[in-house]
Amino acid sequence: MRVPELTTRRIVLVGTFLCLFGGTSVAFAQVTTGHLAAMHVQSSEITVIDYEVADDDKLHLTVRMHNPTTKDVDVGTAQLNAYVDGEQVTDGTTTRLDDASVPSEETTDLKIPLELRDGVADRLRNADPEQVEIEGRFKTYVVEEMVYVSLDGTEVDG
Amino acid sequence: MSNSNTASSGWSSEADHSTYLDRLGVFVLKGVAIAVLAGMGAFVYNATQFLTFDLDSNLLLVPIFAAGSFAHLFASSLRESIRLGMFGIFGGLVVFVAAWIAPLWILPYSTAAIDIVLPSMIGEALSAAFLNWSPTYLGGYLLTLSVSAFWE
Repeated sequence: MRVPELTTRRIVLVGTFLCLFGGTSVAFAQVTTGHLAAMHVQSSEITVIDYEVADDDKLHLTVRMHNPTTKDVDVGTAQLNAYVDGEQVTDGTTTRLDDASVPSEETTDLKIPLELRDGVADRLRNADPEQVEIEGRFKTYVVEEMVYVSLDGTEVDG
Repeated sequence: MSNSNTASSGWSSEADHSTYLDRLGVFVLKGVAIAVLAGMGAFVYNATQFLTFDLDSNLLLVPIFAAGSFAHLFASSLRESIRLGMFGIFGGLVVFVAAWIAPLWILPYSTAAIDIVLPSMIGEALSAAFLNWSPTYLGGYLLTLSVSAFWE
């Protein structure tokens, strides 16, 4: 194949193309990994590892979340409810988590306080762990993309 | 210049001295380069929430617009310009949609889940393509074509 003549016009044209191509490739790599992470984060492994009804009559959950993605995941809010024998005992409000983040490919324990309905604290305190279920979802962020991650019908470990 | 339709872009000097396979190879190389730039640009513009640097989103239209311009500027004739323009728009669309749906095969999705999610993801990608990508690419191509025809 004959090598094309190197005129100034061609050098400028190809140079401009390569600069633009390089810059777009960097942005494309960020966007591709982010897009992949946003779809992957939905399959994060989430387990309720402990709960305690404290003296303030709040339910204090400890939730272990594994982030399988290549991006850090910020956890914005928790929309969780606790049930004893199928009956809801939390008041259904959303809990904001300040500075909660799970680094890439790591596992982090999150402390989440939930408000209880009136008069159910003792019932929850006295319930066996097998009677208690926690359900709901987390509002998480991969860079600036919001993704819901579910915690479905999870029985409490231990 | 021996050929009347080779005067448009300054790439014409080799047009008359190369074999068919040479010209085909060069055409595919140019077309793929343009399509990849256009497709990457389209994907970046439609997923700016994943960028870690702050940039005016209008600037992110530049690679798409430029890909359209390069389709004409890289061509050695008007015929090749039109072929490159079409190669770029369809090839770019393929790159864009492929990047959008690739996680379905990279991540452990079941076949049933792919069947459910795939049509909506392709729909999202195509609607984004028609809304902002194809007008920008074609704008770049047609503007460059018109300006270059005006000056020649």
